[in-house]
Amino acid sequence: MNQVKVLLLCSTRFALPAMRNLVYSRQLAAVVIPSSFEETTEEVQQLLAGTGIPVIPVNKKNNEAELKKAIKKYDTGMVFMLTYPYRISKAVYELPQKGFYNFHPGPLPEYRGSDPVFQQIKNREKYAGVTVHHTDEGMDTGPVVIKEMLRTDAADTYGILNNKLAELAAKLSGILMKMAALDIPIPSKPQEGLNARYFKKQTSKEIVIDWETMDADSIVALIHACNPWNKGAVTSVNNKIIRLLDAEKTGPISREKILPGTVTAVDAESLTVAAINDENIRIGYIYIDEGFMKAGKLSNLGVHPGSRFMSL
Amino acid sequence: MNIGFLSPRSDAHPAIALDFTAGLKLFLKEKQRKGDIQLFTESIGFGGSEKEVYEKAEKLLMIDDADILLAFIDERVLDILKPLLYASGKLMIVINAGANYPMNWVPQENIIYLTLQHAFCNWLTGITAAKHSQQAATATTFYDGGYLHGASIVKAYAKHGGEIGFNFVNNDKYDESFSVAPLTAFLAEHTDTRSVLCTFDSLPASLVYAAIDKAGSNEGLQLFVSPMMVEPPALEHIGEGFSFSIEGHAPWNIQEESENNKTFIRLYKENNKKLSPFSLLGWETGMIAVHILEHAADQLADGSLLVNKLKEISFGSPRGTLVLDPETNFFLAPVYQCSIGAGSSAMKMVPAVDPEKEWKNFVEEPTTGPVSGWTNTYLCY
Repeated sequence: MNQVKVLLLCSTRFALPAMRNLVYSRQLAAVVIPSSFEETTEEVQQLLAGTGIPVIPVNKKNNEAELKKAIKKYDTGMVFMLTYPYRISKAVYELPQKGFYNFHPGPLPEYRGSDPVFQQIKNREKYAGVTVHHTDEGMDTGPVVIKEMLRTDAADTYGILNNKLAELAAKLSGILMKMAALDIPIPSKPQEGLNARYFKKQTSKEIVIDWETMDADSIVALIHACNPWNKGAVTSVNNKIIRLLDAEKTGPISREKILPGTVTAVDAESLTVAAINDENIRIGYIYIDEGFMKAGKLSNLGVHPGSRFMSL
Repeated sequence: MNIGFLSPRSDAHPAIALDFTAGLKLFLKEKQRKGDIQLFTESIGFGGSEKEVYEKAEKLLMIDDADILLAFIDERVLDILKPLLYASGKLMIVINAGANYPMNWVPQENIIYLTLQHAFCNWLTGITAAKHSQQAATATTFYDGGYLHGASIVKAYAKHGGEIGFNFVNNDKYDESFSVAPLTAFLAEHTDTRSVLCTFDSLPASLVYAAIDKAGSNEGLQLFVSPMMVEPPALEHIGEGFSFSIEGHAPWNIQEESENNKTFIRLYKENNKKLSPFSLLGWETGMIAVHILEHAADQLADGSLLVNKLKEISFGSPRGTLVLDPETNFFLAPVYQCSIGAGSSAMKMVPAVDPEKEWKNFVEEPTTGPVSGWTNTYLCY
């Protein structure tokens, strides 16, 4: 089998399991990370400590030149992108002999865009997936090599799902590596434009809970979709901004008409809050300026049954 | 319609490909569809060479223009075909004993699985074992233990409160040197352990039965066994009965009195063909192919669509009603609980109760941690 060297381009933890596998198989040539992603750079440096594998910092300006240089310098057979924020020109993505691939943490063409993990949780998808496709000049538009889905869990947070998809991406990277090593040409199929959807990076408005219109399932999904990267979905109570990190829908209870957002119960662990359609959610953990804590502790800040969470 | 077949070879079960193909052809003959379906065959040996399997599959799809690809392969080799199948869009039917199962049960949309449900049978047998006793030993070979059916029986047993006190893995040749001495020594010393969870192919199984029987000290001993251990070759030394009892699950009851089974058996006898579980798989593949031909002949290029159509119907197989599980794309069929009492040579077979419900528990059990195993197809060695 021919060992193929891989250049890995990334900006988030999504790349770590694939990187780990490439380190173990001694096929990782170098890692390219935008220098502005300091936390990821630190994690990658820890993973690569003692391996002698270089980490190449880039920025938007020198990205193309650095990639060209690295592909040549390390005799790179394949390039894997796992959450890389810069577009790649044809002059670069045609350089590696065995291909330039993007590992996208969502099914394509249905979930194009920069943060499909957030969107898949927010949309309460029963299945989430990873798509490997050839890089082209569009955004997530290249021909698809393989797409694999996994079952989501209602309790999946952004961090949990991202980790699951990262492991799936590592598995798929193994398939590509094996095909390259066996000298099997890697087939692909153009994306079907009919189902294509593009999601822009979520705005600050999209991470705010709208108690008046969102049902309990949607609120819980948004809360999970914002954990941990945004420290939760945003709301306010008693004029204080609060981020909700963890919640679950509880069964409907028969009660008099209560306005959505109203706290219906408080205990040491949690808060129960009314949503529309006579539904309730139980909030487990929150984040406020004072720190991360159990939602029940909000009683110390004057949140009691009858207090009302408000949309911003 | 063109069907491409990645055909297996097995020294242990030399008729595996012939039985399968005969079953398929006999069904087509019975339905007078022989002339409508052309079968292209490529041998893939034991199914363990990924490059060979890939190249043969590519030939069947690209040169022979197969509308459906039948692949007698196992999970570990399947991965490398997925990009090819995704690009082609064609339907692939993965056929095997079902001794392995996917790490991720969510299937590629144009791939379905027709198996003998061995790992699932072992799961059910693990549950049965836990109902009898909470203390057991396990026994397998280096070969048989390299597939997930071994994990399946142990996981089900442990999930229902059972504890494993001893593991025996045999690496002997299947001849007079074959020994189970460490296992029988353990059983002689630990008289509180009277259950053994066994996963063997039929060849070593007959040796295991004979060796344990000969060792004695078998009062109250119960063997909970994998499906190949209740196949006739495994029981060739049973004589008037063993000194231990045997319980397991099998994917098919050849004695089943259903019309579909009786027709299948009658046609085999009339055509002087040899029956085996692989003939059953061939017959069922014929049922699927003819259904597609009759209901979607103009949609052969869209494997995902064919899969969705197959999810809407059920087949009257000799082994019972065959349905495609919409969540996993595995065909599900009834399974049969088998038992042979100590001192008896008669095997009782009764349909397992509510296997569909237990199937959900089986597929929801996560596979965690590192997993290793053989790449070749189970029984092809």
